[in-house]
Amino acid sequence: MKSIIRTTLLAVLTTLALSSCEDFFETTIDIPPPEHEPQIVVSAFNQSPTLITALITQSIGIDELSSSDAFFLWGATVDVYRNDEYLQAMEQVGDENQFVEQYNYEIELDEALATGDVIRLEISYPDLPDASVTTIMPPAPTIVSVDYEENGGVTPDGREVGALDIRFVDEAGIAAFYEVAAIDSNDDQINNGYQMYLESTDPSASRSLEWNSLLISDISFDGLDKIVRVQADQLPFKQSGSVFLIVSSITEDHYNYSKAYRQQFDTGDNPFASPVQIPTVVQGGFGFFGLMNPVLFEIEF
Amino acid sequence: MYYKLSIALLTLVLALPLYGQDKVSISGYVTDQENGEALIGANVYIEALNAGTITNTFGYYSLTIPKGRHDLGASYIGYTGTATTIDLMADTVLNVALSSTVELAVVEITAASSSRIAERTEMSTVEVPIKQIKNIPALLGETDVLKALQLLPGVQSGGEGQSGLYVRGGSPDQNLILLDGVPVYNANHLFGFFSVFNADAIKDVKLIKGGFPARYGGRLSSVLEINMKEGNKKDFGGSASTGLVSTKLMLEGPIGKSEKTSFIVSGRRTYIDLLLRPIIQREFRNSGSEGGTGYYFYDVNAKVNHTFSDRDRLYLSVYGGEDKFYLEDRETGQAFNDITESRLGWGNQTAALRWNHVFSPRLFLNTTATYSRYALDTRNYFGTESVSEGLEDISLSYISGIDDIALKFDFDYVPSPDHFIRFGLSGIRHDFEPGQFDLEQNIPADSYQFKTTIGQDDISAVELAAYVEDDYKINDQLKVNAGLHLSGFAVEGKFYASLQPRISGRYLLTDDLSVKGSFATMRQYIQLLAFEGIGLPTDLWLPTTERVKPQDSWQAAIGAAQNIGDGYEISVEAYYKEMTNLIAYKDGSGLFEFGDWQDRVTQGDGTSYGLEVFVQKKRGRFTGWVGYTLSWSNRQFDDLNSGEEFPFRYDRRHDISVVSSFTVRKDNTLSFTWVYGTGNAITLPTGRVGIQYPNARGVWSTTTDLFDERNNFRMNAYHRMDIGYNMFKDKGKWTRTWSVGAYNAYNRKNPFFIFSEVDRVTLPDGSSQDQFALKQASLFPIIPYVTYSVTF
Repeated sequence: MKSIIRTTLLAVLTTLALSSCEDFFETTIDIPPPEHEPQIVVSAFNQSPTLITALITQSIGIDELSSSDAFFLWGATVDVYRNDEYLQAMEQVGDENQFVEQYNYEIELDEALATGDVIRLEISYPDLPDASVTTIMPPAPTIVSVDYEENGGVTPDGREVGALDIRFVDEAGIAAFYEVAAIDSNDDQINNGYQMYLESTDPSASRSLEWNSLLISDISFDGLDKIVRVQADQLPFKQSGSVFLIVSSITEDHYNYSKAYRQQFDTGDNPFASPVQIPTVVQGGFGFFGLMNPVLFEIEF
Repeated sequence: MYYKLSIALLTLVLALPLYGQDKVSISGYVTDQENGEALIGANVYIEALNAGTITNTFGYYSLTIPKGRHDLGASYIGYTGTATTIDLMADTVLNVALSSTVELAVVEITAASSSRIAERTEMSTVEVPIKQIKNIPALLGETDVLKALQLLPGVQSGGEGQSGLYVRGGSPDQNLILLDGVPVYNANHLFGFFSVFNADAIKDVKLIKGGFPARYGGRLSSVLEINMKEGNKKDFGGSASTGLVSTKLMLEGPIGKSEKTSFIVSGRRTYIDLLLRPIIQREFRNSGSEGGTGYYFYDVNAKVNHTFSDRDRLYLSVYGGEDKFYLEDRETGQAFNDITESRLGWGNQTAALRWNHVFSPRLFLNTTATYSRYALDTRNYFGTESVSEGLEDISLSYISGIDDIALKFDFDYVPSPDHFIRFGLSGIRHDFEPGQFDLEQNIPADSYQFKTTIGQDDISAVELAAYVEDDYKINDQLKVNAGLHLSGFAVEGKFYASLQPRISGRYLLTDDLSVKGSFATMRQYIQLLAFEGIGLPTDLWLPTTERVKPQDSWQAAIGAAQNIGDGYEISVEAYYKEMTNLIAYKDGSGLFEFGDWQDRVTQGDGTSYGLEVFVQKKRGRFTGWVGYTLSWSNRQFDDLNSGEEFPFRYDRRHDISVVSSFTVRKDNTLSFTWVYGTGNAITLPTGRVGIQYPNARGVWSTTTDLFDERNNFRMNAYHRMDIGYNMFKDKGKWTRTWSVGAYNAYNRKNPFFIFSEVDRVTLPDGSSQDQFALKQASLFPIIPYVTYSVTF
């Protein structure tokens, strides 16, 4: 009797164990999606000292598929204020038939943005609540030097990389935030290059919302002389005419926004992470407006 | 209101009549006849007087009764009761030894006793015999005390396979887990999949979910008392086992021949890293490196106790456990050799020295000195070594932890048959290490060296407590336990104080049926900053500070309890709990960030209420229980979810557990459990937005999810059945046990997490289109286990 029970039990367990291996970990479930009220979404940045571009869209329900027609707000009014003085409305770029850029509104300023300038956007669109957003132009970064070293180590996946040592002289007591990007250009023209992938083992650095760029915070070296080593592929340095390094000052809100979005993207598949709610600075809507103050270094060999 | 109630209770206690002129006391220890282990919660009673008591944590009892001839009975679950006739003319010491019943799983209770649920004043309290815990089928066959407790009503698990306890809507840090009286701060191994308690070393487990007696304090939601075995005072013995996860060894026995001293030592270690080490090292060498990687955990328990006399006993117990992950990769043979080292380790160490002293048969003192430490230590190192450049490297270390040193005095005083008074005081010095980063960077070619330490200074705090409580039998029907708990916390020049009234009582409607009620206020001065969902070692214990306020709660419960027939118990309880100053990370904040942790947290409130039904069969070949919980649990933080109230992640409307064990024959038990729970509340995006972002050539744009409501979605319900079969065989000087079984026996695809995808689907006309879909991932399919163990 005992051996029968034992044998039966083991047979059942073995059968169930073997039958459980197929397609266990993923199941499509049928549930109604959460309800959603559309709102204006602002995503605006300066691309140069005189050009501010904005992607003005509306939010859509999670189950609505991402046809661009559902997103873009054509015909919105985007008023621009500089230091509380009205400048003009942004111009629409493209239309519902032609999305020509990665944005749909822009303004070319008569006068370049200066440190401390306060810029406000006020957006209105029929049937959606009005939205507004304000930001400030941060000061340019203070960097002593940028040095390239060909033997910059090996990445975890085995690639030999070069290193750019960016030496910051940090002002004590003032929180500073930066975004670092690099461009490989074959003909000394920055506009013709492509963006290089940067990485760093320095804990001051973290990945930006723009995957190839890095964010840097001075919290760990407040008031100190600090070299932040940034690693990049060696090949462009060996073959290209020029590599440009762009270090931009950004605001703390900008740093948090970019970092939060990167966390949201990075934790999207992490079952243990609470989804990251993106901080919004847009009154009456959702989104972000950031101004960047860059310095450019051309790395020569 | 609390203060008025407190004064009334204090007056009640101080105004107790002093009896004694025509009464005498009988006192002593109740032990297991076979091995001398003290029996906790054994019943000692004189039925003719309707008087009785239960033994305390050390097996000590005291009864004050009229002089004369009495029949003194003693009983304990799983043991044959005894009755002794005594002529009591003066205070008398009588130690009682009970023998266990022969059959392994059969429980015998003789005569009426105060262990009957209807008669107990305490409510919301459950004791689960360790024998029963060992019979419950377990994930990979690894017996787990905490997972067994998750099968009780009002106690919920977190994610699949997790050992964290969520008691009546509280979070795991709101549970005071005491191992031989010492707080254990991180009860998890392997990211929460196993608890740190080795069942082979444990004697007794008791969980209090509400109606807290005044002697407990410092946590909002529960007290879990785990007592280690003392060691066999009469014979050497032990056990050894090996399963799919770990190997265990336990040894116990007397020291000397006087049967006054005994010891127990037990250890457990995972072994998969040892088996895989040669394979991993070979793979590293094949890829041009030296090094290896692996993970293991271990724990060790040891205890020594000595009986000096019937008045004095001493106990020394220690525990140490650690989890360790390591990776070392040193490239060789290249011009520039890359070095990567990573280490993650965490663990607890505790020690307790306890001294029992019997001043008189009516006054018992336990003095406890304890030490507890939990620490997390991580280090990441990256370097490149070459002949031309030397060694360029950067390393980052992170250390966090908590150290406690405590001293407490607990008195039991039995002035009359109707009063059992407990009072005491305690002091704890906490030393918090809230997280410190050490960063070091060397670039010899540039003559550059950078070294800094970033983080919070260590914080010291002193937590004080005093309490008095009386278990007062007002008449045969009405019995109350009333008390006061006073606590204080001194930190960074600030002092917090709290007076917490506690009261619970029962009224017997019939011999077998009673109604019960309780009210308790609690305060918690230390909190765990944690991510929900998994017991990570990076979770950080932090103190109340000037900015971060202590957590408070009050809880009220009413219920009824009934004994039915021979061995059945039924209890029904309804509870309501409010919690304030709960702590959580702000959105987008995480642990491994520089700066002040206080900037990254926010505080809010919580409410929890529900109904629990518990039906238990404690006697016979078929034992077990059925538990059902109907509950609601919500949170509200000004800084989260736009200030709106949202469901707690473990808000679980329905929770059912069925646990049973059937003695097939004298030497075989068949066990199964079935659990059902409403799906966890999780956060899903409500919408999608388009964004642009600058890059070096202008901007790029994309679409992304919009999360604007917390825990706005319910996972599918969770249910699972586990089965196990234990086969014992007496081999003369030793007994062997084969345990086989399966976790998730019917292979249910339970939700572990939810994600969304856009699938390309083919329509009936042959065309295709994108279709939004929500998908569920599961973690554990059916997992068989087999464990072999011997006891000798």
